[in-house]
Amino acid sequence: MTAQPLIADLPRDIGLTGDYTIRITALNAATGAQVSGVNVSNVVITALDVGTGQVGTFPGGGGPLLPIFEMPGSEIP
Amino acid sequence: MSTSEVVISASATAAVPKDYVVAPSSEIIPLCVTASIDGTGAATAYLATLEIISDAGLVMARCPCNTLIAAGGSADVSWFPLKQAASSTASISFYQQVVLNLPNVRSYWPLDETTGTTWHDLGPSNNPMTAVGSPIMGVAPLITTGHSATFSGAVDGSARSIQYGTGAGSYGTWPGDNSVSVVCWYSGTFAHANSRLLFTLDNGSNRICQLVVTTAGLPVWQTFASNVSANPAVTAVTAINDGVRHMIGATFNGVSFAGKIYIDGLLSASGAGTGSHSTTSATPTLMTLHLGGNFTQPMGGTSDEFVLTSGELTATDMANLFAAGTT
Repeated sequence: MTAQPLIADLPRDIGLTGDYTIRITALNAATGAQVSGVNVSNVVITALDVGTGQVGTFPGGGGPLLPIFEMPGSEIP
Repeated sequence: MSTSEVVISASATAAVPKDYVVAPSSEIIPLCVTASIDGTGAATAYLATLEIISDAGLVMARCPCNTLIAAGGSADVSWFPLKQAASSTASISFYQQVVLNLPNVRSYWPLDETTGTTWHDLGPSNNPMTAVGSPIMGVAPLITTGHSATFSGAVDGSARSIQYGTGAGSYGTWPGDNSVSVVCWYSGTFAHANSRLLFTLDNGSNRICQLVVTTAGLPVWQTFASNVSANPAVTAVTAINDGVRHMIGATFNGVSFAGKIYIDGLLSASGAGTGSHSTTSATPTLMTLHLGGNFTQPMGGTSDEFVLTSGELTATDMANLFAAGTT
């Protein structure tokens, strides 16, 4: 397939707590209904972990939640 | 507690919708989401969309990629925060995102202005509303962000409304099946001696729909087969004049002619109309707030976040809006 590169907006500074879901889908522009026949792959989610620091996993096909570096000075008193 | 950056990757291919659930006892702020979207099997054009869904199953944010992907087309999409808080205009709030992601939005007046005589329309109709008679602007919001406006509900010596808002632009040919929805927030403790009007939509001569509030504070959603007879008129079971903020949602289905009214995100009442309905086919041209019928029955109180759509919003849409405005 030939895939065109596109960008889209994401809410800024929105904190997602446990059991919130990030869903990737395909919608009909006029009706908002889901369009079938679309697949998704190579998903990469980069996020700031502001919770307990606990390493969790993303159920439903996601990979492990792995801290890749600590941000200096980010310690919250 | 520390803050760290995390990366989650999943290379496997799966059919949409594909969900990634945040682990229990954790909290993350998404910085960027990228994905390969393969629409080879899609029979229609589509918008690659990221949704954020609460633990209660409500869609809290819907983030479509604004480039329509053709049937059978594919894309590599990156979602990340694009709007800068330091830009010349205020960054869009979470509630505004939820509103503008609703289907069939025609106009949206947040009433966030603090001075002047204009309330801007963030919807595609772009019909600014004029504040007449100096209603109080810049009042504390009824949702969690922005501002609202307070209307006196008073009339002059000729029994004409003193303070109201009016959007005089045309909305063009009403798309779809003549369905219409209006959502707004209200807070007040009025005790008017007769029924009052919170908003009306008309074509300059004939009413299309309106929200009447009875002396008991009960909202009545009316759509019209003619200028005179409401068809149907649906009365909510919850009064809104108790001084507590309320979200009022009203919908009309242009196919079934059913009307529904929601209070605080929950269905309060519904009613059946009959055919030969001219709800929106007359090309709406005028949206007014707190302006009574014949200018004699304006409703006092504080209003916020007026939304007008050319479709019937669902119970889920109403629940999502109420959640977005109160959290």
